[in-house]
Amino acid sequence: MLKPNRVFFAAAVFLLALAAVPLPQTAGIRSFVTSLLKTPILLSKTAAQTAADLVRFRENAAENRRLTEALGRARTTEFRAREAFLENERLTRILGLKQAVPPPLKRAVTARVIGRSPSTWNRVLLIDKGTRDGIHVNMPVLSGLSLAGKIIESGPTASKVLLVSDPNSRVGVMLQSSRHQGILYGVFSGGCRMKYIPVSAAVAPGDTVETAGFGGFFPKGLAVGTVRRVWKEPGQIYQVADVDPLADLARLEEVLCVE
Amino acid sequence: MNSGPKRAFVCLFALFLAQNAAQYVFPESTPPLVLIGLLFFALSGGPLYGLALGLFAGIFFEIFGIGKMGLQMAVFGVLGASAGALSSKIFRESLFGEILLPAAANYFAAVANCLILKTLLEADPDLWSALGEAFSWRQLILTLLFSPLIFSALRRVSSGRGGAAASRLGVWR
Repeated sequence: MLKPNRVFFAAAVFLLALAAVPLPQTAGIRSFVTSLLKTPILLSKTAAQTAADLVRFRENAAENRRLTEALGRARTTEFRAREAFLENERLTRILGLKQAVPPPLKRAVTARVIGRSPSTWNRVLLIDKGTRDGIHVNMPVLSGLSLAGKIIESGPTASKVLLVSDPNSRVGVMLQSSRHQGILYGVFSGGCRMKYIPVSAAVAPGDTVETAGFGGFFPKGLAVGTVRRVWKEPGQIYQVADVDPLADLARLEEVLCVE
Repeated sequence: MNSGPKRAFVCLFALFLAQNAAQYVFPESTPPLVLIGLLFFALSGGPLYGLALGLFAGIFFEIFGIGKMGLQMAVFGVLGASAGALSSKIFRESLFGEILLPAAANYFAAVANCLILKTLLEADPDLWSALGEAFSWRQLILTLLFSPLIFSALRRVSSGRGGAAASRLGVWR
């Protein structure tokens, strides 16, 4: 017969020992467990995704029509943007300025999302590409052309993405129109918040937030989200804004890991 | 290992896969299926059984965690052991055992995680703000809806053998 007190004590010691494992080894253990669970997670995801697609086929067909129309409009916008980009390049060259916008991304790896953190308190994705495909820690992860997160752990065949809406995430960002900078972080209840906006800055709902490029993790100018509401924290000298990410982080299926 | 505990571990793993898959149906908020399953088995098996199952269930959430390991295992272990300790006081088929306890346990897990997160990120975590931030209507409704369904399904799967198997593990009541 097991003595309860001894078992509880042993469990506490085991958990403390686990917490004392250095972070690189912790990542190794997690990566090993992840590679073991990758296949069953992928199978369950495929079954659920197929069922959800079948249930929502009308919705999907309507979305397809909407997106086809939007694509037509986007082509025109893209053409104009390309013109503006080329003009900007010419003018920058003429003025001899250092290019503020990074050159086109060097490399991009498309990965499928095979799992999501099942708890509500953290927002982490599991993707089906790892070090064998050239994925490494701290690579920015995009959805479309907007920032979704960054790689935090990378195993041989799978990697983990920390979404910008996770409370552990911190991204240096700025407001596209006023160029005021701040820090974007995830909030426990979901969504993102931008802090440290100067009180003098004019911020309005709908303003675009993009990466500021400081810290070296994320290239400058990646779209992140739009401001939903803004307020001044009592007793503080800065403003805070709730930001809606441009990427639909709850429904990501494919992502782009770039560098 | 006899079939009762083995069945419980397999059920928890299946519930983890189901919870992972459920995110494609409920993208905004997922029902806490693993937690509900853990409470079901812990309520029939006692604190040691609950602790063992809680530590096992915590492993699944650890793989999605970042930083130090063991926090999710600790939270689920405490929940499993606490539910097990209540097994002599709460009837598993009662309204409290089947519906209110899972909702309360899910809220406790969210508050515990919120506090852990705040402790790691901030110097001075505030319990009151954590209580507010951890509360989610969506989670509450999903837990209340799914809990009786999971309990009923697991009752059929385990067919009352969990308690007998757990007592063979040396359960302390």
